[in-house]
Amino acid sequence: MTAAKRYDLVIVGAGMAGGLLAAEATRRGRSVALIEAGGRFDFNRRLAQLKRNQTFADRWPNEWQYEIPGRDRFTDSSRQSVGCDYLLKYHRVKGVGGTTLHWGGRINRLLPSDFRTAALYGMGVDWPVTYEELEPYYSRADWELGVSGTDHPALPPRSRDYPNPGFPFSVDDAVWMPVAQRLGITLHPISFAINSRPYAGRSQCLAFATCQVCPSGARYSADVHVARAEQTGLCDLFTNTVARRIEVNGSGAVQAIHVSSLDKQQREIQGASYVIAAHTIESARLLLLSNCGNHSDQVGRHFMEHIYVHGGGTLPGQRFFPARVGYEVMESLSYYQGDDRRERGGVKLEFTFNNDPLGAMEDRGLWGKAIAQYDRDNFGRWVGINAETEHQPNPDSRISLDATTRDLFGDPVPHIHLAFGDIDRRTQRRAGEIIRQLLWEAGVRDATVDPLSSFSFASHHLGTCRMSDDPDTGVVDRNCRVHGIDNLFVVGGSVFPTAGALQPTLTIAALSLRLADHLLGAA
Amino acid sequence: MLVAALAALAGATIGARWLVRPAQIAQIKRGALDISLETKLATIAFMGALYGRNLSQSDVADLSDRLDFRIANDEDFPRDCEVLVQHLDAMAGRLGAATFRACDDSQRDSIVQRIMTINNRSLVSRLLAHLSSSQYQYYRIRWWTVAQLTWIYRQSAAAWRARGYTRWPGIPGDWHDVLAPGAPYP
Repeated sequence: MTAAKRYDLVIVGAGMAGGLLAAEATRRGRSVALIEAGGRFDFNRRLAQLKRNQTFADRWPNEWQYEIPGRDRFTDSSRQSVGCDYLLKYHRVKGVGGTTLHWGGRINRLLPSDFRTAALYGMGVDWPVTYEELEPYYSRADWELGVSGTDHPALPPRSRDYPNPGFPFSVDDAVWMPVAQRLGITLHPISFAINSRPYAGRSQCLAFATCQVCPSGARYSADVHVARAEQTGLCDLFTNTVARRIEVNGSGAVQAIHVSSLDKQQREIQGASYVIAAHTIESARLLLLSNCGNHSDQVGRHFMEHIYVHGGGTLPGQRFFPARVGYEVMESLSYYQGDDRRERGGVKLEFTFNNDPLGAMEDRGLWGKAIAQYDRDNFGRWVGINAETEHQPNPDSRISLDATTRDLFGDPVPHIHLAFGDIDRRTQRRAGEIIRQLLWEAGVRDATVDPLSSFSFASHHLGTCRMSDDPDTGVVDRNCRVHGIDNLFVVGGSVFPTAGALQPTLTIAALSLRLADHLLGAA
Repeated sequence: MLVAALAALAGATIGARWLVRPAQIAQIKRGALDISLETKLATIAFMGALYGRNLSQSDVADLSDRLDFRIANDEDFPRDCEVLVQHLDAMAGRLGAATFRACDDSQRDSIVQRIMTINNRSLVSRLLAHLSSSQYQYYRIRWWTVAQLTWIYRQSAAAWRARGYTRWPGIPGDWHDVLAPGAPYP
């Protein structure tokens, strides 16, 4: 069956990149078909989702319950390289709003140097766009998402103030001030896409401390922009609809996207331009399934994640009051670059106090009166540092098609192979050294730092459709257009040439706004 | 040779089943989405005992609410609670008490000790869990039910009130609270 309607823009994926682009396009009077593999989550169910979060031990992303086994199947061989499986279900949400339904709301711009790591440090590749080119879009993205932030000399230059005042340091953060002074490092407040005051029809933060499910709506999620697009009457949203093929005609232009609903009803959706914003893994998979943009065998390669290295310990004589909000409010970029930056990737530090002594029931084999006493002795005495580390682009770290495993529709599922190189290991090792040094300076004498075999992922999926001016080394050009196909674009974390060590959502939003201007004319 | 080895293993397994036989459990079907008040209160009492706490009425009310939510949204969990409480009551009986709830603190501690030291990871226990549904349910208490109940407790008002907090994750408030010290541990 062929849909009669022809849209100005067909977008695959209703997450951060796709939702924002749909809102921009409809605001400018363009018709949009927005195709989303997942369903729509009713905001009024957030309190029930919060309860689910707090009553099911296998909690993430249990509260979103987005998984449909046949649709979301994947295979993984990451253990061979990184030493553990990459359990994708823990790292994304499918649905209207995408993974921003679940995120913590931390917002960062990449640093100007992140766009030029090859030129400055001899590692990675340079982006075909500069920070300066992207800066106006970063500022617009701040206002679209309602970022609460405090300008600081350690942060990249900005052309416009934050829309909301930043969250100040907590009373607990004061413990780090003398350490920073002694070591000459700079601490600054974290910026958040969480309202510090009412903004754009959304509540201010009500400190539920469960940011993965924000019942107040103070923490931004991209369903906000999808709703704005729908309210114009110009956006048709197709939920529970999986894009399966991009059809390219004989003259090298996309003619339609072929989709299937969960009951396997097929249709094609046509438009003037097509944007794939289906998250890093599914965007690459759709291009591979459609044999689009893979002229140089680049689609799916350079899959990157941010690796967190954790450390912490007890601080005698101190009592902190953690878990009163769900997020840390202090970070440092002082070790992001440094003298050894040519030897390792970026390292960003976040300072935390959240460590529940009641977890010692399983960790230390304590229960009954013993754990009650342990909690009394240890609650609030723990101080920790999380280091977000850069993952270098690596062609062997990739998404490919697994021809032996099929999804609900009979299509090959994505095969994940996340891989680390020597630089990544050096970066993680250096992060551990930095954490240990800072904890020692703070007076922690029982510090433990994750070994290299035990780290966690930030759930930041990047790469796989690299942006490059050279078709031989990338999938899309500087305007996110797929090389060789005039009306096909990819946007999102997938086009990042390098990962930096900073939360990517604002950069994704900025790239989406920039693409909107390219496709639709300046705002 | 192989046949003899398999026969010996089967014999050893059957013998081991007799040695470590758990309390006999009445057959409980899954999918009830509810439990009796007695079972609920016993489950909550067990959560308190796990954490060495005598729960207040407010604590019990909060944990009851969380348990109700879990039970209403997980068709396996009512049976998990029923199985747990049957074991708790059976152990209480061996200590001379009518039920787990009727136990004094010392008896509850003793029962918690036994539950927490169920060895569900040994080869024998894994074999037994495969061979018998009652054995499976017995080991499931340790690796699944306890994990769920401890998670529920750790998020609860009971856990946070004990630390002097008047607000806890899931309860709205004012983010400016973090600008001032909180209450000390009671």
